[in-house]
Amino acid sequence: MKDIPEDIIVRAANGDLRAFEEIYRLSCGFVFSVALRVTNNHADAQEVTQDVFLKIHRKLKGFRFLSSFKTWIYRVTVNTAINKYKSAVKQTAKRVDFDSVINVTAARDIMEESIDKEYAQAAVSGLLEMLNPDQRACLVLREVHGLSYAEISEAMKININTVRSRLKRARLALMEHKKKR
Amino acid sequence: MKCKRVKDLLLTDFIDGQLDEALRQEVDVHLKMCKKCGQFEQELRHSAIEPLAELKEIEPPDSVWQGIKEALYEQNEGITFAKAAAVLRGYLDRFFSLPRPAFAFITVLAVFLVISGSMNLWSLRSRRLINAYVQEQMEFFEGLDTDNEDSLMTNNDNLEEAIEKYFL
Repeated sequence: MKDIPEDIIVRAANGDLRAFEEIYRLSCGFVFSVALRVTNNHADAQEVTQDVFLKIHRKLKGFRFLSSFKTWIYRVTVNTAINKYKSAVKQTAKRVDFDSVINVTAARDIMEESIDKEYAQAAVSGLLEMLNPDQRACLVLREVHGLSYAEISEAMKININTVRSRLKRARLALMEHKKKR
Repeated sequence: MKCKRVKDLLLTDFIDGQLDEALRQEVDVHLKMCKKCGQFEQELRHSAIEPLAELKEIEPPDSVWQGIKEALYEQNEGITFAKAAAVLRGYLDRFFSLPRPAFAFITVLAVFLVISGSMNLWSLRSRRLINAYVQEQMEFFEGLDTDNEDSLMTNNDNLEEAIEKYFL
């Protein structure tokens, strides 16, 4: 995620919608990607993204710059995405399995090159779906967005050793899955 | 270094580049000498690291920003309405928190003002109607009787007298 200049944050906090839109443009890719990987659902990811930015807008005035603005966005994003996933699971009590993700993706009418890309994306989505949302969030923040252990620890408000533990379990689960296939 | 420790480090700090230089070199040396650990590292990269390298940051569709803007506008309208309601409530709270005698006096005064105002308006309206009617009648009578020496007075103050004279 790109750095957001402090003056833009201050202007947005004072009600400047253009400045807030600037914040959105600089961080929406991160927020949406994390939301998508954690919820594994486009509609939920869009809803999470909207919720995250509305929360940010509401609380912007009270932001005291005691921690990094980026870290704050990470935290709000991860919490909102995990909560959304958990409530979706409760409602449906149904898990998408790896093969059904592939089938759904393959059924779409898109260009060949895009089909390959989509297949790869869907394959990874299927892999991530095997993990619990906390492990998934840790892995995505580390592998996709390159956050350090300290940043992940701050974003998820967990101990740094808990970050290590979740990453370790997530990777072992993926290795086990690969061995079975 | 024991294989269990190396595997732990492989699954976390080593693969994520979080190890300090000295420790990283120790792991490197172990991997060169230990076939099992070397194989473990290959499997880890193949099954858990490389697949995720395909994942890139994805931009949300434009509809997401539209939805956020709409929600913000609705929030602002709600805030404006809520502010107005809060101000009115403030006035009402202050009014109803007055001591009883003052509250009673203000209420009675308000009722009195409303009633007297209504009555004034009504009598003013009635007077206007009457004056308009009389004016009409005077013009009518003037038109009827042009030979009469005792013609109707145009002055409103002798009106009654003039009408009486005409009919007698």
